[in-house]
Amino acid sequence: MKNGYIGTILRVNLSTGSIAKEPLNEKNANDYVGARGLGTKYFCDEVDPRIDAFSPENKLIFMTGPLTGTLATSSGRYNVVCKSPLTGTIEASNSGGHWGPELKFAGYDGIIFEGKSEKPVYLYINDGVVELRDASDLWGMDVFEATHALEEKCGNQFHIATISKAGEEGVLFAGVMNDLHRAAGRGGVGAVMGSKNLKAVAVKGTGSVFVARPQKFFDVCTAARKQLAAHPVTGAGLGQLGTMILVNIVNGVGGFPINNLKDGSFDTYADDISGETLVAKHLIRNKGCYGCSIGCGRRVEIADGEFKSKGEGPEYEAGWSFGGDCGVHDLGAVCKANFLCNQYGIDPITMGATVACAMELFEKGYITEEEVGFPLRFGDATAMVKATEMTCKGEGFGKIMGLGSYRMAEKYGHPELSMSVKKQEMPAYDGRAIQGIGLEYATSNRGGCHVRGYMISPEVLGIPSAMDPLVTEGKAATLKVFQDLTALCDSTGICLFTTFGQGLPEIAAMYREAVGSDESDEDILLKGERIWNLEKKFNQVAGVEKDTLPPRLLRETLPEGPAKGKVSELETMLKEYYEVRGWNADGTVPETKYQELGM
Amino acid sequence: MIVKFFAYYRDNDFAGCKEISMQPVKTLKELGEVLSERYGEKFRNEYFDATGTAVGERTIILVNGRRVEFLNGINTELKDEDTVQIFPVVAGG
Ligand code: SF4
Repeated sequence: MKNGYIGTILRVNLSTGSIAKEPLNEKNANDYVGARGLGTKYFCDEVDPRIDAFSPENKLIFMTGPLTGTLATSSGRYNVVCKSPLTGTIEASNSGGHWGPELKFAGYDGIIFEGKSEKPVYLYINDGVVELRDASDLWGMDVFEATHALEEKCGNQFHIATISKAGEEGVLFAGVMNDLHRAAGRGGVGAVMGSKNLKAVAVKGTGSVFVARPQKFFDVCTAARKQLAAHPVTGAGLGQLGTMILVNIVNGVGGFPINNLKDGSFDTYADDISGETLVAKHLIRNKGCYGCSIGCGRRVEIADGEFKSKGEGPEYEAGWSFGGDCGVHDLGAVCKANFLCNQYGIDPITMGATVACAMELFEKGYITEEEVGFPLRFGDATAMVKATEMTCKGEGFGKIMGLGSYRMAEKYGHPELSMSVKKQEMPAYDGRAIQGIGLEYATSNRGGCHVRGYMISPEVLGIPSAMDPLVTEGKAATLKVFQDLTALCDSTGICLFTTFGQGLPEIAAMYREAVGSDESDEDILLKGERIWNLEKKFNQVAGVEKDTLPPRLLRETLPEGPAKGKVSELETMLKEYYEVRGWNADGTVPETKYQELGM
Repeated sequence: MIVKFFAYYRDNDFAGCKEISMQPVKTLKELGEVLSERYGEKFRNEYFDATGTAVGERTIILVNGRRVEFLNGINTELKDEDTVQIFPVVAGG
C-alpha cells in the first residue's frame, strides 16, 4: 500500500505452527490509526476480556503505526498488545529502537501471535521468509545473551525482540526488549510472551514504506523537525541532559516521592542522583532510536566501586524507583539496578517500587530478615541492588517480589502499602503535590502509569503552559485532551517525547499526508478518544477495579516540602473527569458514548 | 537567602556553581539584576524575557518550591529565609 501502511498482517498460531499473511483491516486502520490503537482493536475483536492472561487464549500482538519507519521524526515506535497479567487490563506497551521500522521494511504492519507453542520457539522473518524455529538452546538466556546468539544464528543485520528468563518464568512485570536496550517494559507483556513459549522475534527487511502524498509529507515532516530543533526541550535539553534532569525540578516542587511515598522531598540528596550528576560523572555518549532528532538515550559507565558496571539509562522513572523511592542516593547503585533490569528484561519502575514496598514491609516488621535473607531497609544501596538481582534471577525472596508490590504486600496482609493503581506501580511523581498526575494515575487504562496523559508537562514543566500543581481546577479537561492526544500519538508510531515540542496540528499534518486523508485535526484527535474508550470498554468487561489511588495518597498528608499537608483531592477531580468524558457518574461508559464515537 | 542553579545554569558561562548564599534582595527582579551583574549578559538573557519585565521563556524559577507564575511573577517578594531555584526549561519522563 502507499499510505504509510504496508497492508499485511502476519498471523502466527503457536499451537499449530501455522503462519498466515492476511490483508490489513483497512477500516480498523482508519478508525484506530495503528500501533496501540489498531493492536487494541484487533485484540478486542478477537479475545474475550475475561480470559486468564496466561492462558493460550490471550493473544500477543506486535503492531506498528502508519508513521513507523517513515521520515517523520522519532518514528521508531511499535506497541506490544495483550491482556496484562499484572493488572488484568488491556496492555499496550510501547517501545522504540529500530525493530518496529524493520518489521515494516520486511513487509508487515504487525504480527498476531495466538495459542501456545509446545516447545520454545522464535519467529524468524527475513522479508517474505517467515518461520517458527526452535529456541530450546536460547531458553534461559538473558536479553543480551539471546540477542547476540540470534544475531549469530540469523545474521547481524537482524533486529531482535526478546524476553529473558524473567519473562519465561512469569515475572509479572517482565517486558519485551528489542535492540538490546529498548523496552516494551510495562504490564508484563514479556511474561505473556514467555507463557506462549515464544522466546524472540528476529526480523530483517529490505523493503520501504510509502506514503500517500510524498512531497507534502516531506514538507510537513521537515517543518516539524525544524520546530522540534528550535524548541529548548526537544532541540537541546532532552538530548543533552536526558530524562534524569527531572529529578531536581520534581523534587523542587515537592513531588519526588521518597521511601515508598512516605515522604515528599529528598532534601539535599536529590542532586546525588540527578541528571546533572549523571552527565558530569558517568555519561559516555547519547543514543537515539530510529530517525530520532532528539536522542534522549544514554550510554553510561560506573567506572569503579561496588557497583562498577556499564549499560544504558537509567531514565528518570528508574532513577526515582531505585533512588528516591528506596531512599537510595548512590547513583552507581541506581545505574547498576537499572542495567540489571535491561539485561533481564524487566520493568524498572515496578521493580524499584516493589523493592521500596518490601523495605517498608520489612521496617514495619511484616516480613523478616529470615524471609528476605538480609536486612532490607530504606537507604541501603547494597540491599536494593541485591533485591533487584534476586528478582531478575528468580531466586529466593525475589520470587515473591516478581509478583509486583500489590500481590507481595497482600500476601503479608498489607496491600495498602503497595503504591499501585490497578496493581501496577505508580511512577515518579506524587499525586498529592501534583494533583493532576494523581487523576491521571487513577484513570489510566493500564493502571499506574505516567505516559497515558503526562500532566507533569503543564503542572511542573509549564508545557504548553503552566498549571498550578496544587489545585484541581481545570485538571480533568486538560487530562482528557492529553489522554486522547497521547493515544493518537502512540498509535501513529512516533515518540511521545516529540509532544514536548509539537502538538496536534503537527501530528495530524504528518498523519494526513502519510495516509492521504483530508480529515480535520479534530476528526483525527477523535480517533484518540475512540482508542481511549475502546481500552476502557475492555477493562469494564474484564472486571477491572474502579479508578482510585492507594489510601496513602488519599488520607496521609505529605509531611514536608512545598505541598506539606496536602492529600490527593481525587474525588473532586474524578467527578469532573467523568463529566468531561461523557461517562456515567460511576465511571462506566454509556452505550451512547460508543455510538457517538462510531464504535 | 539561598539561590540554587540547575542544568546549564551551573555551567561556567552562567553561574558556574550549584548554589550560593547571598544577602537578601527585595524581589525576584532585583535578584535577576544582581545575578546578571555578577554573571553577565548570557545569564541576563535567559533569566529575563526580551522586555526585562518577566521571567525568560526558557527559564523556570521556584521560590520555596512554588513556581513564580503562581506567586507574583518577577515581582515576587523575597525574604531572607527563602530558597530560590533556577532551572532552564527541561522535560523528560
Ligand atoms: S526521544 Fe528518546 S525515546 Fe523517543 S525516539 Fe528519540 S531517542 Fe527514542
